Amino acid sequence: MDSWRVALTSIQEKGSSFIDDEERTCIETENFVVTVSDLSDIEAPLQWIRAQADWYYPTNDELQAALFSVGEEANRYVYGSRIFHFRSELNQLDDYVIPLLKEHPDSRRALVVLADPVADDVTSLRNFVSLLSVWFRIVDGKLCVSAVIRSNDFLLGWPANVYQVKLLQDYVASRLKVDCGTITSVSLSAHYFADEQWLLNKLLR
Amino acid sequence: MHELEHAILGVFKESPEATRSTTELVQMLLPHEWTAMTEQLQSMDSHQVRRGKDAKARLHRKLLYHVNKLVGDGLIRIHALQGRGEKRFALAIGDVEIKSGRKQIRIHKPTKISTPVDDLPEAIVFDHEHWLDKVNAVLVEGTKHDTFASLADFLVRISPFVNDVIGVVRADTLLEGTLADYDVFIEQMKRVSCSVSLLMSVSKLSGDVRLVRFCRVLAEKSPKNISVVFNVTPQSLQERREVLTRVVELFSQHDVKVNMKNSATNVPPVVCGTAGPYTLTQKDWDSYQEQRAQGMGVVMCGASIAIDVSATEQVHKSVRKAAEALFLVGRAQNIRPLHALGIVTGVSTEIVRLWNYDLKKELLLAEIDSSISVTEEFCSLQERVYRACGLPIRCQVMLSCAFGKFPGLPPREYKKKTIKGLPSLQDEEYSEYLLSREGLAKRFIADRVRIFRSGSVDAVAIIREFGYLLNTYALPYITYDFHGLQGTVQLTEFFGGAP
Repeated sequence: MDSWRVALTSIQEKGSSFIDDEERTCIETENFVVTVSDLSDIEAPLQWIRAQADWYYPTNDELQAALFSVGEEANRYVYGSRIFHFRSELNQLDDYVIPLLKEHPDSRRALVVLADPVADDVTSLRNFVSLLSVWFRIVDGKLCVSAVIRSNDFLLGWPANVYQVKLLQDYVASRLKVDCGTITSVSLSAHYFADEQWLLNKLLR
Repeated sequence: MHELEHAILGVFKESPEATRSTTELVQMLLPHEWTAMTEQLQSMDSHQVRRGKDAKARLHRKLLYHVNKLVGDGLIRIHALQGRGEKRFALAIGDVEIKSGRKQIRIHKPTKISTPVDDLPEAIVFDHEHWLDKVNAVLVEGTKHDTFASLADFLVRISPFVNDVIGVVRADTLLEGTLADYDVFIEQMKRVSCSVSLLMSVSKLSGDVRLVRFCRVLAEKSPKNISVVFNVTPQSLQERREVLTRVVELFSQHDVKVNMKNSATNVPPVVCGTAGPYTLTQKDWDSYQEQRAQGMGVVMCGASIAIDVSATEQVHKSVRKAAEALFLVGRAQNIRPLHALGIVTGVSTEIVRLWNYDLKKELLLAEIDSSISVTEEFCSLQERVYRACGLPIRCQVMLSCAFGKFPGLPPREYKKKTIKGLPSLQDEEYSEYLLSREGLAKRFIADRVRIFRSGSVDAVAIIREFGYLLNTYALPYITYDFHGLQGTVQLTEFFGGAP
C-alpha cells in the first residue's frame, strides 16, 4: 500500500499533463521504477479499490486466469498463452526460465517476453499488451522479479499488475524452492487520469 | 501456485459439493505428519503429548496458510465455523483452469452466481437456471451448408448451447431441396429445444416456385419452433409482390405469422425468439464481416433480463442493476463449446428488455433515455477498469422489448390493437401508435411491431399494407398475426380465375 501511495504522490507532483487519444487528461511520468520489498500486503490495494466505487474490479480469480489460462484464442490479450504457449511453441516458464535458473542460479537471461511484434504490431488494433516482459533473477538466494509495463494506469491498474507479477513470482519460486524477493515494476508510462482525481484524493488522504 | 494449494483444490475437484474441515484436509493431504502427530497424542508420556499438540497446531497452521490464500483468491470459501473455532471450507467458484507445469486443474462451474437482480422483484431473468451455460441467440450462416440436412445436423449440434433462438441467414440458398428434404428438416427441428428462424433474402431469391413450395410445407405442418423472416426493402417487396402474395395467402390460411424485416432501415439480420427480438448493431455487424468467412455463425446475445416497468418507480435504477447482472453473467458464461463449433463470439449484445411500458406515458421516452444513459455509463466504466488492469473486455448492454411469452412475466397490461385493412392502419390513433413505436425502435437495439389482422383474408391487400408500412415508417421488423381472421378466402375467389 505504501509503495503505491508514494509512487502516486510522485506522479501527481512531478508528472506532466497531456490529453490522450481518447481525449482524457492524463498525468504521466515516463520510465517510472518502483520496487516493492514487503510483499505481505500485495493484495491490499486490490481490496481497497474494490470497495471505493460502484464498479466491478477484476477478481483475483480473473487476474490469475488471465495469467495461467492457455488456449483462449478468442481473447488475444490473455497472458497465459503468451507465457505458457508463446507462438504455440514455447512454454517460457516451465521449459526455459525454471530449468535455466535451476542450472544457472546466477543467470541474467531468465526473461519472459509477452509482446509479440509479429502478432501485435498492427496499427489498426486499439489494444496492445501492457505487460511486456518479466525478468527473474535470484539475488541472495531470493527470487526477485522485474516487470516492464508499457502503459500503466498506476491508480486503477498497477495493483492488478503487481498482483499478477507476484503470482508469477510464486509460481517460479515454488518450483525453484527459493524464497521470494523484491518485485520491481518499470512503467514506461506511469499515469493516472484527471477524471479519477477523486479516487487519488481518497487514497492519499 | 504452491503444491499444497494444488492438492487442496484437487480434494475439492473430487467432490465439488463437499465441505471439508481443516482437520479433514490435514488428514488427507499430510497423512504422514498426521499419523506421527496422532501417535504422539496417544502416548502415555506427557512430554510426547505436549509435542503432539504442538505438532497438531503446526499442521493446522501450515494448511490454513495455503487455504487462506485460496480463500483470498476466491477459489475456496469459509462454509461454517465448527466447534472450538475450526473452519469448514467449500469450493467458492468453479470452472477454473489452473496449469502448473504439466499439472492442470479444471473445476466445474457452479450453476448459479449471485447478481444485483437476485432480490429485485421487477427483474426476470430469461432461463435463469441455464444462463451460465447457454446463450440466448445465435445467427448461423446458411451459405455454409449445401442442404437442409447439413443445416439440420449443425443446428442439432449447437442447440444445446442456445436457450432461445437460432437464426439462419440466407436460408433461401437451401430451397433447392425436394419436398422430402423439407419434411426431414422440419422433423429434425423437433429435436431442437430452441426456436429456429429462417431468414430469406427476398431480393436474392433464385426461384419463386421453390419458396412457395417450402412455405406450403411449413404452413401445412405448422411446426411450433420454426418461423420464416423475409428480408425486404420497399423496392424488393414491389418486385417480388407476386410470390410474397402467394406466401401471405398460404400463411394466413394456416394462421402462420408473416414476418418482414425492413432492410432499408436495418441492415443486420433480426430474429425473434421467445424473449424478444435480437440483432447486432451496425458496427458489430460490420466488425463481424471480417470474421464471417472463417466462422459458421455468430452469437447475437448472451443473456436477457426483463424489467416490468409497471412494477418500479425508477426504471433507470432497475435497468442499471440488470446491466450489472448481465456484465457478471457475461464474465462467467461458458461460450467455449460454441467457439469450438466455429461460432464467433465477441460482438454480442446483452439485452435488458422492458415490459408493460405505457406508450402514452408522457415521460416514457425520457425514462428510456435515462436508462440507456446509465447503461452506457456503466459499460464504459467497466471497460475502462478492466483495460486499466491489462484485461480489455467488451461490455455492451442495450435495451429492447420483452415478448409476452418471456417466461415469468406478469400479465400484459396493454391492449392489443387489431386492424382490418389499410384504412385502420391510416387512422389517427393507429398512426400515432406507429409513430411512437418508431421512437422506440430508434432507442432499442431491436424492436418488433406486431399487427393483429382481423377481418377476411385478402393477401393482395395485406401486401399493400406491408408496402404502406415499409414506405411510411422506419420500423425494423413487422409481424402480421392472423389469429383473429374469420374464414379463408382463396386468392382465386378474389380475382375470379382458376388457381
